Amino acid sequence: MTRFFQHMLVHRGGRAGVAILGIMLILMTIAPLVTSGVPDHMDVPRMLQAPSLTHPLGTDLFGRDVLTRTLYGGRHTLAIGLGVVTIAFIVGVGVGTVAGFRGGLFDAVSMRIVDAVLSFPALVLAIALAAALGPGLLDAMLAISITMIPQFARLSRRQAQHVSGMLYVEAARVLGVGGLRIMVRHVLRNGISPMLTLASLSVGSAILQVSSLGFLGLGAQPPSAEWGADIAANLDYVRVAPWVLMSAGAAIMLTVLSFNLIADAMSDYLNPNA
Amino acid sequence: MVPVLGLVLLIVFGLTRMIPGDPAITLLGPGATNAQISALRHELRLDRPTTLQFFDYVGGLARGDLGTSIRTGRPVVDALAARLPATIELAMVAFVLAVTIGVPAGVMAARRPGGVMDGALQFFSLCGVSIPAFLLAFGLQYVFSAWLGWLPVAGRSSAFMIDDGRSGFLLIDSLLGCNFVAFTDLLGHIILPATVLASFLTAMLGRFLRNVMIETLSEDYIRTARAKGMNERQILLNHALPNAVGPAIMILGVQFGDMLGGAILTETVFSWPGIGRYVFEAIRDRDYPVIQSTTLVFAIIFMTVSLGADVLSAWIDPRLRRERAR
Repeated sequence: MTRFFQHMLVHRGGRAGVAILGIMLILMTIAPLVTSGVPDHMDVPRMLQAPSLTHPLGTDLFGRDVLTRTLYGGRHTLAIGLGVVTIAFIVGVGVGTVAGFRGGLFDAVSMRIVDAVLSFPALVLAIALAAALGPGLLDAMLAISITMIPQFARLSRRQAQHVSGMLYVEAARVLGVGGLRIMVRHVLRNGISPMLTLASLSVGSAILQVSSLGFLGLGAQPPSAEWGADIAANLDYVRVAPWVLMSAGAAIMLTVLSFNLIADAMSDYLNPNA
Repeated sequence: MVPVLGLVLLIVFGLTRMIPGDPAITLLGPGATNAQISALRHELRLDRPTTLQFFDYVGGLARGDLGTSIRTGRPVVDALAARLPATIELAMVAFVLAVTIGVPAGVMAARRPGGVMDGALQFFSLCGVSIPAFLLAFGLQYVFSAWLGWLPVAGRSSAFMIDDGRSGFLLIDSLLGCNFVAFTDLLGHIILPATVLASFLTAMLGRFLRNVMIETLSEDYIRTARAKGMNERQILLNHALPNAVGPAIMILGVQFGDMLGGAILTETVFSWPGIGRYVFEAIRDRDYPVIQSTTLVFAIIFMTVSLGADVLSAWIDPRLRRERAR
């Protein structure tokens, strides 16, 4: 594990990714200290003000402080992104590992379902599911994780098939180790590293999808702060007050960028030949 | 293929059944009378067993019945037919843009890994996959329309243009009719949305091609070609690139789905009258039959394109054919 962190800091992209994400996380954590701490505080007479000393990033259409909203919105967006990937990881890796290790009917059926979900463009399916489940943060989260499960299932199934053929799995079986124990302690643990890279990559695209749903009005509902929803709310004022859009937009881009950089560094660490 | 298609239909069918509570009540909204609700329940066949409902739905699809829009009361299939050409035209232009920029960028970057071109490609492709489509759209609108005033802000053509097209593919229609004023106007409108739509695909393609080319350039036959004195240009274009084409087509097929998703955001920002914008309007109006059938249409387009990409890449690249036979 120490070697892994060392690699992260030596790798040029990885270093940049860790630095960007670290600064964002620190800012979000100390948000109550550097801002008023109330992202929903409205001050309509002071709406759409340009950046100034009292409002470092200006104010939005209800006179709310943009810096406060961006930092608190980031807590939301980031938490959803991580939540989405956690759900997709647990379900996808669970199904995929069992399918790859056991094979048989479960494998055949679950992989057909995975194929069916993959037949939809991810964002289109997420939009349709979120619209059907009803607008709201939790429903949007669920919708996006459903579209992400198949990738984890396919990858973990391939890993499980590969590891199951290894000699040490054979040896464990001969020693009388139970099937479940082999699956968790040997198959899952030895095949998990590419799935972690996929997870880091997925956090980036999950954040993109969350903000896209928010932009379409399917994610967070007003007045709660979320980057995509904040951009959508201030759309009509792009021309007069571009700073409102710019700060949430830059925040989305930097966060996604940092996760992509970290994923790149991770995959370089895991297979140095490529 | 067939069981997968059945499951796809089941998922699309299930979309309206996932609406919490009674779909009929949700669709009609508050204030509907009991008679209206039971009439709609009957019309949507909600009073029949679910299995029969599914077969009714599939049977309707086979007859070309994609349901009725709640907002307009007209068949969804008509609206889709009117809007599909706009989306296909936009997607085609974006696709061409992605290939003409992505391929040369990938090849040039692979020539010197770690060089200036490579660094530039890595930087721009990382930005390309990290920026949300709607944000890039606003950025381009702001710079090229509001600030520089070079290109129109939104829409598919200027208001004074008379649509004399027959096929709905306005670019082709105007070109065939030798109406160059209209053609330039249409081209001006399509550039920004097509750029936004192409950005993700270009970034993915450029990066992928670079990696495949670098791998290919370390093969023995490339060393042989160099040893016999072939120049670097010929090696790149005649030996290395053809080997990367098959995998590149496959990746284009897979990534096409992301482009379709991006179309919803792009068309919304640019008021582009295609199916992406139609989805946005349907979400706003809670027009579930429209959301349901557009999802199905997007899935069918995506499945067709990825199947086409699979067949094409296997036809071009015998290695992929052998891999699949195994």
